[in-house]
Amino acid sequence: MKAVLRGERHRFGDLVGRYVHRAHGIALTLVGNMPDAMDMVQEAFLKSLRAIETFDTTQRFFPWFYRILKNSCLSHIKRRRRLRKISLTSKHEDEPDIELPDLTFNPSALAVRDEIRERFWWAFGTLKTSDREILSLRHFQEMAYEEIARILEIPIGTVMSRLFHARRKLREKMERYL
Amino acid sequence: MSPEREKYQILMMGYLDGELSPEEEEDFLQHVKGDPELAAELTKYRNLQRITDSVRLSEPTDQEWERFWARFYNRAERQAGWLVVILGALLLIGYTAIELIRAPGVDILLKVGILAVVLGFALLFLNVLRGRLRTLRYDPYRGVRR
Repeated sequence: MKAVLRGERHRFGDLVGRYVHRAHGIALTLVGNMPDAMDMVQEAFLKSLRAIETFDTTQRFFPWFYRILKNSCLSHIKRRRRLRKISLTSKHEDEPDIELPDLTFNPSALAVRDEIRERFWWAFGTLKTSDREILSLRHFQEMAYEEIARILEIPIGTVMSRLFHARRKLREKMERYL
Repeated sequence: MSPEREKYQILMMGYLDGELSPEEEEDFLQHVKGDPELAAELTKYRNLQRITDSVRLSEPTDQEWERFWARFYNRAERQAGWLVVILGALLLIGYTAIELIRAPGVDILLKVGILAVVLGFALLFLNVLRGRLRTLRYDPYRGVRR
C-alpha cells in the first residue's frame, strides 16, 4: 500500500491480487450472483484506487476497502430493486419486503445442489443484507470476532448479538432440517 | 424473552464459535445444565452450524478470473481515458466560449444563442448517456444481434 501511495500505481495490482478472493466471497453473499459480485469487486477496487490519497496509512487496508466494497454492493442492491420496480414497503431499506428470495439471488449457482443446501441458500437469500453480511464474515470468510469487530467498527459484544439475531432468523427458516 | 435468557442465547454464539473465555464458557455450560430449553436450542444451533459449515461459496473458474483481470485493466484504462476526454472537452468548450464572448462584431444575442445551444446539447447528451449507462447492465437485449 505504501508503494502505491508513493506513486507506484502499478503495484496496486498486487494489492488486488491479495484481496480479490476474499472480496469476491463477501460481494457474492451480499449481491447473490457471480457476475454482479465480480462487477462490484472491480468497481470497489477502482474506487479505492481513485480515493487512495484519502487512505490513512496508520490503518489497515482491508477494513477501509471493505467499507468501499460494502457501499458499492448496497448501492447496487438498491439500484437493482428500483429497476425491478418492487414496492419498498419495508421499514429498513435493506430488508426484503417479501418473504421470497431476491430473484437475482441465485442459490443454486453458489453450491452443490441438494435439498438442505438449497434450502439453506434460499433462507440465506431472504435475510436482510446486514444479517447476510455478519454470517458471511463469520462462516465464509472464517473471521474471528475481533476481526469482524474491527472491520464493521462495532464492539465484540455487538458482533455476538448480531450473529445471534441473524442465526435465529436463519434457524426459523431452516427449522424442519434441524 | 427475559434479558437473562437473551444474555445466554447471545453467549451461546460465542460458545459455538469458540470465542468465549474459560470463565464465560464455564458460566454458560453451568447455565445450560439447569435450562433444558436452552440445551435444546443449543442442539439446534449446533445442527445449523453443521449445515453452514457444509456449504461453500462457489469460486470463479480460472477462465472467469482471466476475464475478471482483463476487464479490470480495461475498465481502469477506460476510466482514465474518459477523464482525459472530459477534461479536454471542458477545456475546449471553455476556450471557445471565452473566444466567442470576446469576438468583436458578433451580436450579443447570437453569442448567447450559440452558447445556449451548445450547453443544451451537452446537457442532453450527458443526461441520455447517464440513463443508458445506468440501465445497460440490466438490458436483456444487450447481447442480441439485431
